[in-house]
Amino acid sequence: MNKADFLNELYAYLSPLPKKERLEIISDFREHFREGAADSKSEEQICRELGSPLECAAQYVGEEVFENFRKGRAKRKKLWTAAFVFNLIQAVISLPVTVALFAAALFMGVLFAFVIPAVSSAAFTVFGVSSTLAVLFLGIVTLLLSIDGIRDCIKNINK
Amino acid sequence: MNTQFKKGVLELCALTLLLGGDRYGYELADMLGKRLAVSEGAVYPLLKRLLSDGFFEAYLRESPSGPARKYYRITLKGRDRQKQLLEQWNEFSREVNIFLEEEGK
Repeated sequence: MNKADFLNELYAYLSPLPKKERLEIISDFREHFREGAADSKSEEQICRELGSPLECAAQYVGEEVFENFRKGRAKRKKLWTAAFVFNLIQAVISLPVTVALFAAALFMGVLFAFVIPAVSSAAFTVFGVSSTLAVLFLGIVTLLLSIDGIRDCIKNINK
Repeated sequence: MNTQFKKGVLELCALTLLLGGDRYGYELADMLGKRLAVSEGAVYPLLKRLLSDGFFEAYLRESPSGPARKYYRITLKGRDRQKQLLEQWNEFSREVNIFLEEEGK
């Protein structure tokens, strides 16, 4: 095998890598051939000492695959952390709001169902009861949100 | 010798070689290839990894004959790595020697 065969084969086996990287690698091997020639070695001898182009390429490509895998895992971990923080904020914020809304609904319910009817008209009572129900509904929604947040937090921890 | 095992030792030797001063790729490939009986082509992927891990730095310097050569210099991080690998190697070879002495009787 001579220099041209070696470099061509190596370049072909490096095809999974980006072109810039392939050219950098080839330039390292070109330098090796140049220095070997200056060391009065024949191209055949240099090729023999280098080993097969496939073996050389396999080490570069293997490193690349491993590196990509490592990067992908780091990225997934980052996403996971963001989701966890979001769920925690959701749970922490929505819990007190839930409690406040339920308290308000209770207060309004008592006010509109018993106190105001005693001193006022039926129409006013209907309006009062419906707004109480609306606040109660909001309370249920925030309660569900906080339960959801807590559940997701637990799910993340168990992951 | 097992190739995976040789690879780890090759890294230690490359790091150690650069403690004595900067060298260019061909020198490293030639010395490591001959002394450790590995194919010289295995040295270049190792050099690339040592660069990307920040254990080595590369720079170009004019050569007396022909175009510039790519030289490698060991970094502080590389020195720490060398120390760490050397300790591991010493510990490992000590254990193996003890094992062979005891079990080989």
